[in-house]
Amino acid sequence: MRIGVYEHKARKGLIRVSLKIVEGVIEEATITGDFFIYPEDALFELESTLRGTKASWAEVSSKLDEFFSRGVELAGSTPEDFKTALKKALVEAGVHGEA
Amino acid sequence: MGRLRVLFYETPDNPFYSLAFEEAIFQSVMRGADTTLRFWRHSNAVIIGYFQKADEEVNIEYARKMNISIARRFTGGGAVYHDLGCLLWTVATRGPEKGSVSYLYDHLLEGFVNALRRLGFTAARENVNDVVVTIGDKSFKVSGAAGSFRGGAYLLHGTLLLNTNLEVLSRVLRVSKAKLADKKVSDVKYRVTNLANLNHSIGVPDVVKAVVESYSELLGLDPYYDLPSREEVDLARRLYEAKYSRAEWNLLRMPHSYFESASTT
Repeated sequence: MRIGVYEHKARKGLIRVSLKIVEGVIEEATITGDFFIYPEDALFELESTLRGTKASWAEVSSKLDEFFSRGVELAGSTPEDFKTALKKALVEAGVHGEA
Repeated sequence: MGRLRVLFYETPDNPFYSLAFEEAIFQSVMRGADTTLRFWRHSNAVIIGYFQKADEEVNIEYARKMNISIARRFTGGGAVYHDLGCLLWTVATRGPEKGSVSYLYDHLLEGFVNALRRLGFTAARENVNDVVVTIGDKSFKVSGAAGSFRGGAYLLHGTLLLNTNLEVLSRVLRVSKAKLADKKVSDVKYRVTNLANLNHSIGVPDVVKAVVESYSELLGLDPYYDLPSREEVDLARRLYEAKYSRAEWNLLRMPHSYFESASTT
């Protein structure tokens, strides 16, 4: 079991990702902070999508791209900010390669 | 000319109910209630944003020692400390059907900035949702806002530091290392100040008058004074009992859907 936590500062808002990885799979993913995302509950859908995903940047990145292609709006942050936060949280959890 | 409903409705010692009432106004306007302006306060509370976890944003031990309530609102953004020296304001209105971040933070927030200008300040929006006043070459953050939109309705609520205990504010709120290390973004957020320090003669009546006039002008509406409707009071009570009074909402950061079996209609 590995834990990865990373705080990334977007222009407006801190994005804090906490990952719990068990046997190479993301068991828990929370994305907390003072950012703005619309509709708001899309954020919880994103967390849900990440749960059960293989803990690899390729998989996670693909899920994020799909998520942001669905028309969520951000204020003061970009999809890149969320990708950076997720990527670095994976690194913190010891997931390397496939950058 | 359409109408701007002005409410003074607060429960300073129950921030949980207060925030339930915010959602009640939002739903009320969604269903066709007049554009509404609300003025309210909290005695001693930290309000965290929808995406925040209390233990990440608040010094829990200090909050406990100082009897500071911790309550979560339904809009995003950051954690704020409120005491009676902080005036809270809310504007809820119908707007563009297709939701727009810009309508919230460029248009509606400008109404509040204009109110500060009416009071004689050089004021501006900065970095999405910060409101700063500039004196000489120094800028200070006096207000922050957060909002939501759904079903053609928009709600923007925010703070105004008039005479808040800034020491308690700085001690109860945790600031992450990532924020402190960030040099790219303006640090005005950390130069918060009370409006009373900048102009001793400004009080609640002056601010309220300026905000009412400002939104009246921005939205082209005629202000009138009112009390919450029976529907709003009933809805607020239900939202409070089902959601806003609960630890799952305030501390465990559960989404709206977790509470949906309870009534939101």
